[in-house]
Amino acid sequence: MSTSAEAAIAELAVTGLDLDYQGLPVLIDLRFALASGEHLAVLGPSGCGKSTLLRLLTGLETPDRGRILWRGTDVTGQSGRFPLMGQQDLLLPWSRLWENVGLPLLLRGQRRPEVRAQVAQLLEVFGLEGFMDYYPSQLSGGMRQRAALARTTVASRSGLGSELLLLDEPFAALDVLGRAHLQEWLAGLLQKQRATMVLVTHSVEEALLLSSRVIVLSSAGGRILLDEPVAFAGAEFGEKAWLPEFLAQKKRVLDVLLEKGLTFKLS
Amino acid sequence: MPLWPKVSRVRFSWGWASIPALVVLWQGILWVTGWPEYLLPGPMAVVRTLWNDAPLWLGALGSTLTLTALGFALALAFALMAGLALDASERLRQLAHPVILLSQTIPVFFLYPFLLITLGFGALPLIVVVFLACFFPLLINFLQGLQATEVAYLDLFRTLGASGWATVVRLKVPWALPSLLAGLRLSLTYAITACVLGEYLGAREGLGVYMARAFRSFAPAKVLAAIVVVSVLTGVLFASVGLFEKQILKGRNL
Repeated sequence: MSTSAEAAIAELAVTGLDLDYQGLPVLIDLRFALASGEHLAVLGPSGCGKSTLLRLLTGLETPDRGRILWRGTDVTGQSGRFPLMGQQDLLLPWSRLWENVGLPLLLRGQRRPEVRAQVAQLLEVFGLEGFMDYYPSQLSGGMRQRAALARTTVASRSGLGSELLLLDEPFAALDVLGRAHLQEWLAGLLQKQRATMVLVTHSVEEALLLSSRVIVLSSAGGRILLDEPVAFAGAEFGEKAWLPEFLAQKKRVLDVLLEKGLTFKLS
Repeated sequence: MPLWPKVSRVRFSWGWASIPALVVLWQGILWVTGWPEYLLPGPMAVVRTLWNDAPLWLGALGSTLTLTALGFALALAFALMAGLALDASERLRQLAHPVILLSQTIPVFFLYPFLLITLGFGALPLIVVVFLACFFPLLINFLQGLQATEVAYLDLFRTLGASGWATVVRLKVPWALPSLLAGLRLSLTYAITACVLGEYLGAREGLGVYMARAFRSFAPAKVLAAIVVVSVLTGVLFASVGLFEKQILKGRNL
């Protein structure tokens, strides 16, 4: 299928993105398309431009060349459409939990009682019921990340009906147990909700557990070294990591990351 | 992640016994050495003067407080507006920077004789000197707080499609609040000092006038009494800002 045909039917299409940073190419001619409800994980060595890709998608950066299309509409360089969740929870320390989660609605001028009621309905899904009036400093790290994710969901829903979740190492600041717990929880949430997702991570395991497709970028210029579906995406979460296909794919992805990633870096 | 400077608050503990201890020591030294009271009055003489002169200094206190409050309120209002304007415009900041620097090189009290000549004896020069003493510390602290807003948070607000004004109200001002409150405490002390010193240099009423008269009539107990009043007043204001801070920053650093 040609790229333009792909772009026409895709939920999200990235066509030939170029971005230089202080004369150094960060991304060269990056192109891919996502179908609605697809969960994409982007892997790559540090400095490969995977975080930059998310900053481009959310509109914080504008590419030097190339376009980003959302359902055929050009959204290149437009912020305020797709929320981005990063490593830091970025909760406002002076606001209570419900105000933090409902921030996107408050920013749109919705009335406080309405926002409060809306957030109250949402909190159970995020395992935060009963903590409405807590300040961020009173919550654990895992709870704060869940609150940040809840805020991201609220923002993507209240936007243009465009449910695109952009996640940049969302659980990297947590300890191993906390991360495992939230991964399982997010996998469940993704199954229930029809959102399209782009997840940037440095963990191959996290990528394979949470996505339906993986892309590996090269260290220089963010070229796509590998682009393949996650074969066992439908399997039970707890079983996934022990499936032979999982281990085989993990090895394949790791090989690409280590060998090609490194050769590109050295050359 | 060190987001917030810890709010320093006055805490009452056994350490506060040092103040009465100093007072007792002072009185004790006078008793032992037998210094004449007209040269160095003791705490008891000061208390006696405070009691006898109460109608005088209470009236003066009222006048001083009113003018200080007026000048301070004006300074706060203008500092808030100027802070927001300067934060919004890089060009304005560049223009204002030399003025702010210049303001830091002129001790405000030296301006008072000039203000007296230009504005005449009365309330106006006092309000202006209080305003000048408070405006710049308030502005500098507020602006620094606004400008210190973390970029990651500004990015978050952009990705959420927040308007410029919403970003100021919901992010920048709350972010700058601890810094503004620090400026508030600092400038309250300046405000009282500016007002009393102005009154001392030339005015019709106020604690400074009371002090000047006491000095001219060679009554050290009265001078000390006025100092005690100023000190207590400053302490009370300081403590109320502390309480206000505690209320307003509730939940931030637990």
